Amino acid sequence: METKLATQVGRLRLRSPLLTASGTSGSADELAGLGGSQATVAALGAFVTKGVTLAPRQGNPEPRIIETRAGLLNSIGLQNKGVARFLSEDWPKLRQYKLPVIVNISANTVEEYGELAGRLVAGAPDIAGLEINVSCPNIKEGGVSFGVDPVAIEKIVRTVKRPAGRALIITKLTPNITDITVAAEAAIAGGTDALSMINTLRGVAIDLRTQRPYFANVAAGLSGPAVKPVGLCMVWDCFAKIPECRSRRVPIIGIGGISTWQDVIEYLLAGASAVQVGTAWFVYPDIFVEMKKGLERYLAGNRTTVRQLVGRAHRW
Amino acid sequence: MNLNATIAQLLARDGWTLDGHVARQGRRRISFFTPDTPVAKFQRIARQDRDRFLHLAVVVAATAAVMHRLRTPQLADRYPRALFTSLEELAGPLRPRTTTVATFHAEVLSNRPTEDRSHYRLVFRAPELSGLVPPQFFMMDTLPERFPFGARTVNRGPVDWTPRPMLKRPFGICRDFHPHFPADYLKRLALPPSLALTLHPPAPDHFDLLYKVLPEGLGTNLMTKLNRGDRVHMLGPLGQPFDVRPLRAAGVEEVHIIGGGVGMAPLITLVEALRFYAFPVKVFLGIATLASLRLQDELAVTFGESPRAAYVYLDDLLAAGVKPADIFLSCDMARPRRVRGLPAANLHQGLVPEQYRRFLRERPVPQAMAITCGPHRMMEVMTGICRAAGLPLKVLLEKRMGCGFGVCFSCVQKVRHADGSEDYARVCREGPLFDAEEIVWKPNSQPKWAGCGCAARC
Repeated sequence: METKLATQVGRLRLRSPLLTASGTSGSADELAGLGGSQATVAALGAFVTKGVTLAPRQGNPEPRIIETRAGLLNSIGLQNKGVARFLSEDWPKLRQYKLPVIVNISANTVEEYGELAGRLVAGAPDIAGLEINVSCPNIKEGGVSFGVDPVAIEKIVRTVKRPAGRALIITKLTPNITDITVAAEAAIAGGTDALSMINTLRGVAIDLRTQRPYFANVAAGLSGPAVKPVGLCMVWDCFAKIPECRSRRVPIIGIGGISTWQDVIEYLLAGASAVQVGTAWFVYPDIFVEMKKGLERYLAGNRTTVRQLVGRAHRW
Repeated sequence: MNLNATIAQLLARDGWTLDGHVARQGRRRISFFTPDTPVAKFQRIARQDRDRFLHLAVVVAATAAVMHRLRTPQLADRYPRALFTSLEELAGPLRPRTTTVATFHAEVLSNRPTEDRSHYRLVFRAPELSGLVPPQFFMMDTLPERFPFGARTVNRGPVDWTPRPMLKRPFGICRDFHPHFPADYLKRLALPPSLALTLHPPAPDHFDLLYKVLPEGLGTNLMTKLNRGDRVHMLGPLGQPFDVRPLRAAGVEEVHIIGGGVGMAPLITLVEALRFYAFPVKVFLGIATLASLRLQDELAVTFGESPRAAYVYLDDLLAAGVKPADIFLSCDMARPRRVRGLPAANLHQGLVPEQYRRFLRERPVPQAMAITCGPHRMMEVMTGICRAAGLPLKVLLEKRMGCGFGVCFSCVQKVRHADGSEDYARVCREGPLFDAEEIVWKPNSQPKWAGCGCAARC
């Protein structure tokens, strides 16, 4: 039976609108090692993995993280063990959660995106979805340089869609762009099934002692509660301006600074069909359980459901 | 009985005799009991022994899992002053303990500065950390309980976890305290070494940590405001435990602990573990000045009495049963004066690696191993010293962390594997203890205030 929390992203029916956010979700072991992992898994609608690339990536040199006011800057650089080891080591563990698994993919060229998607779908036929990362600010090539180029976005989505088969295609967009709806429309033109927004905002920190930038790459990605209004605004804009989003033919997954159940409701009202929570999870690993409780209370108190809330703030 | 034969065999190596369920050597006695022994029996032993630790009670459970359930703080009253073991561990190989990460609130018991207010000592109650095996660590909030707008009344639970500073800070445990055991019980406890490896202390229920406060460190500055009774959110135990027991089978005869500044803090629990398992330990401590170690008894000051100063680290080490002759002290800002009965020959003005190098030159110890924690530069120098002396060295690393449980890949250290390939290892997940030879040291790039060696990632 469908509960009040149930939602839908394209063809994918989710029992809860709460998803892990790529980059902050680890692979499989980390969640399992936590004491309350069963309750967390029960609160999740789907599991979004950390970004996977074709070849293993070492990631950026340290330091990789610094706290800011109400947020944090990170420059991890997509450290991961590559698609081959992901399929052999992590995938069997992820399946044990009995959750839809969405794999975040990242690549340097358009062709690599296609190859990566093909290998994932061939190696893991029951993969629920692929989230195309065209927005990572922390890698030299690809990443955000694709994310600001509508032509490239459309090409990548089209390339990934071909081998993806039944897997849902989600395009993760960057906020480091003048008008996010341009990128969103490009992804829709390429045939994406859903959009997720936002990735981190570019930010810089400078070390007073060395009087040099703190991060080797100078700019890093800002996340955390500080960016919530930005993410919320971008979800709002896409829902308001793009008919496909408004009709939910191309649903939006809201990301950006979500730290409380109230933030989740705000994103739903602004037009997100589901949300991803990242940074807040570091601070409080029981966050999904707390959010689920808060959502249930709000939905019961207002006699409504998640499906009814999506985009409700746009009525006037 | 097979069990008796096993225990007798273990004890015989150290010159003890087993008679029924009681082992003896001179005035010392160890009595073995089953878990269902009436509590009165343990109480009687504790009463008659009067903290001299001449007569010990050992509870023998069937399996290691049952034993770890019995030695929780919740059951401490049922087995006052008892040590624990299991048939499994007595007869079979040593089994490492696995722990699950818990999220919980700890209660602050005290938070006191040293004389120069550079370091603080925070004591807190957290039975959830009782399974922690050093050098595992935990993450803690720098603010008391996070309650957002109206949470107490409307939501009946915390909902907003994000005031600044948002991230928790990682800390190693400095000391742990067991219910029914005096803080310095290790000083008096002298277990037969072969048997000691199969015994476990009761699980601790409160802990203390030592943190260094720096002007730039927002988190540690906020932590100084914590008060008795505050509830602080924590996550732990985290990281890989280091089981010291197999060291004996590996032929290690002596362990050298070298701590630089606040890097000494997380090594003290390792010293406690080594002392419990009856390993000979030598400790090298490098600090700026003695004043940064001196804690004052605030109550005595309030009542106008002459305060009896306590020295963090030194008193902790002595309480852990390290003899003054085995403690070496380096002060780099002032000439160290004689304190706590340390021999004059053990005092050194300068940096601790210099003193350690001289020690190794004068008294080469072939079957030793070293463990160090401190500023990155110091650990790098230590790696060279130990390589030259042919001693294995382990380094306890500290990094800025995001999550602490392995998902954010922030606290990485470049390591070189046996096959020559290089990789970034997560300090929180693969560490925090690494073989020094694995580490690829970064040339002088760590900002001073991040690599100051403070357990406080400030």
